[in-house]
Amino acid sequence: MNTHDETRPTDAPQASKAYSLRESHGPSAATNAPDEHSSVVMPHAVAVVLLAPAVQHVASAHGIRVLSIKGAILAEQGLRSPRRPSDVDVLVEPGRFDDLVALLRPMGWRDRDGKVLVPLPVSGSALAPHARTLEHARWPCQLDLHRYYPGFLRPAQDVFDRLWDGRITARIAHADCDVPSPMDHWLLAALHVLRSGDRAQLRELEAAAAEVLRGREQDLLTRAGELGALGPLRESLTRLTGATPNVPESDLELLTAWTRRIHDPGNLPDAFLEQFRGAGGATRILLALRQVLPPPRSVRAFHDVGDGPVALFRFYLARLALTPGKMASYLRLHRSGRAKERR
Amino acid sequence: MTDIRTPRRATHVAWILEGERVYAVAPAGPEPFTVVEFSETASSIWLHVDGDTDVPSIVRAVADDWGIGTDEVAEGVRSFLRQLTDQHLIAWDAAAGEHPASASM
Repeated sequence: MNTHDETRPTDAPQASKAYSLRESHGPSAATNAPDEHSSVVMPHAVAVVLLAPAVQHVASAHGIRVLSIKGAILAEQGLRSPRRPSDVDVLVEPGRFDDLVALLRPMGWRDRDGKVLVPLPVSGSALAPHARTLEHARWPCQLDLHRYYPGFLRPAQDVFDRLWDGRITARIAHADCDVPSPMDHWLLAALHVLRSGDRAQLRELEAAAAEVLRGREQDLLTRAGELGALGPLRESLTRLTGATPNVPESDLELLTAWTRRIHDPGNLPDAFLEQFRGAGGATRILLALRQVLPPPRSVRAFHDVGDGPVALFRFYLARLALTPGKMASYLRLHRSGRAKERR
Repeated sequence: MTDIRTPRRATHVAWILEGERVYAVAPAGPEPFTVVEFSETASSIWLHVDGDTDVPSIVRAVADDWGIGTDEVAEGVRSFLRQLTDQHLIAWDAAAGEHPASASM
């Protein structure tokens, strides 16, 4: 293990400071450094490039399949204009997702939100939480680990296996990384911008696809069908291919859930219920507690609550007052879901 | 003794040149997420470690880059290459069969 001292040029008599290596840190670690000359703040632009290959190597060394997604690779594949990504996104094979999170934890990566993640439904999901955001004191960017990609309506493992089979190798920071093929990456990116509601980006993606995937329109429809993206991307695919795709009946239920997710992302009792049904006893209690009393960070980010403990306390009080009504509506949904299953 | 061994960047290393400086991470090393920042002169050495250039040639190239004599940079370059080896950032041709830090370069 290298310490700050070990990285200094202790054995370069002529060169002294000229030939030196310094550990590069995120802002928080640099602030706490005992010697300002022994550490430097890693530029964000550097971090977002170096992190993907580092994660890929660690994962593959432990037999975990991951794909680097979005970021600069989209631009390199000609699917959007170059821009600096704000964080790093990695799609992990669903069955090894928890293994990778556990592997990264002792290496300094902390789960930012501590989300309760229940195993994904085997038949696929459009509602389940899809990612964990990890943070590291030495890295000035976040690492988003995705266990599935919402909008691909087929079972998560099946989707990952197909994306993996179609993967290509890209050079990121002079290192080989596994990334989705341009066609798969386009589908994934289009689902992403639909979810974020960014119409301008969707138009940009469609214009890029018209160039990059020219002559392969039928392949695009076939691939979208294999991954379960025909329904979510129906409008885009129609504009691109000139043909309105038929959405398989087996996708319709999840398509309805997906449509609700993108139109009303903040208020989805059925998303909670899906998690709740799939959870065991202790996890159910944890889920219910989180639902009633979300972490302060989430409260401030999503509920327009000001700084300070008083505002937070008021929010929690109001939330507790609403709990019985909310629970009753969840119960009604749960019962109607059960009744539907029995039919 | 003349050293004809050739260092190369380790295959797992990810690195970029940002401005005049190289930043690198060696995920196969003991600290997979430790990024190191090279000084400007160290960066110029790194850029010559391409797997084709032997140590004396690297010394000459660095001296040329900085407009000084090879005597002035030789020891610094060799010392830095040892440091890079210890940090799992570079590897040496298997034919060399010895750790560069313990051998004359």
